Amino acid sequence: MTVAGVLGVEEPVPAPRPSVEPRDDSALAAEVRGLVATGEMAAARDRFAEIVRRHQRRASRIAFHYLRDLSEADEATQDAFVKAFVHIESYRPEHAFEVWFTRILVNGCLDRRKARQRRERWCLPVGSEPGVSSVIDRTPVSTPNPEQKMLARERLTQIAGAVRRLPPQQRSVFILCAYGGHSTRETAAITDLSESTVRVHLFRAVRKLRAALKAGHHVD
Amino acid sequence: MWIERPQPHPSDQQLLDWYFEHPGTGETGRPLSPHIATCSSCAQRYAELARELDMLTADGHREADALFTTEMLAEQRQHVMRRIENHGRRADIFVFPTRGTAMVGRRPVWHPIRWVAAAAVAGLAAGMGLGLSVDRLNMSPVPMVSRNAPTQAAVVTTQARPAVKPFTGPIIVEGPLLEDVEVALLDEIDTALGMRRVTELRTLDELTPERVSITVRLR
Repeated sequence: MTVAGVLGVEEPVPAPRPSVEPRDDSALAAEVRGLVATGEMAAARDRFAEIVRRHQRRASRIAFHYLRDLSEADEATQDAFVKAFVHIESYRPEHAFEVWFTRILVNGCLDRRKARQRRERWCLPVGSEPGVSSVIDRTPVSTPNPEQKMLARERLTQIAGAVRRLPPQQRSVFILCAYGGHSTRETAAITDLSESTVRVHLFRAVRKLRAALKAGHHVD
Repeated sequence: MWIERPQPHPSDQQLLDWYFEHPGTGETGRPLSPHIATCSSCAQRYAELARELDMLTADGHREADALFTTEMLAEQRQHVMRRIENHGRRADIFVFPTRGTAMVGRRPVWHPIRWVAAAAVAGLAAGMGLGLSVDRLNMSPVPMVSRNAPTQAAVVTTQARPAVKPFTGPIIVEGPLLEDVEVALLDEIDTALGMRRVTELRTLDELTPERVSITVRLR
């Protein structure tokens, strides 16, 4: 029995976001592709700037939660946009541009994580958790009460640590679904996993994070 | 008569799927399925799940947005567009400044001094090799005594030429050292020595035995 059946709604469930169908940005990307093919580079860059403006907030969030470093996330986001423009001829308009672009972004972030792990294998890290505590200190907490503010920062630290301790696939799926706002179907297309596998990973990740929130300590 | 079967309660997995398949604006604005709307226990479970997930998501967004401000995103957009515009162009090479002046060029600077140094090293190596090979040729022993000579005959080589030893037997010398040119040269030297006017050759004269005296001594 499907989810919709269990929850008592009519099947098929109308998807609120037509995830794999071309959307406005996909049409825009197809237009950029056509302009690049005809050699009108100035017009192509002009259209692509609109794509960058639409996607950069979400892309920066995803890159930041993958890398936990501001400058690296910024560079990864820039690289992903540049790669998307350079290889726009390989984009297929029948697919969602967002999925195609996020896949480029995630691959770049994973490459950077590997490179960082190689560096850390030979170099001693400066701090215990570089980037995490400093980032949380800079995160504004909208509460005037100092005690609540401290508790909120502590919760942020717990969540960041718990997300970082997740297994790679669970972390990737959770970041894409929760922070990137992608559906499980889109996440499956981005990560090359089946949709049911994505759901299982997501469920396990959320269960660990909820346990961490309730217990008030890190998950292992 | 149809009896309506009660809907089974959804599992946590199904509630989570429902949450991510139906993104809303928060706990109050999130759509509810008919079962959740009628079942108080499921509604409570779903509300708790949605509240915690909303909190997780909001915390993550707040954390990233605190760093990626609007100004930084605008700057990032400019960087991206500049990189795209410059893509495919050849990069400039900034040469390390020498003598207080920075040199900027599109091609690496040609250094003639390096070529001169390389040519000098190559010439030196070639000269040394040639000299060694010539020395080796000169050092090689050349048989200068005829095989028909008696056993008491002395063996004179190019190395032994300056040294004069008292021989008792006759000297029979053959070979390239006694070519006509060399004989003529020796005659010239004898003549010069006989003149006793060349002061530079007096030392040589004292050290070198004269051919005439050797011949007389041998006889």
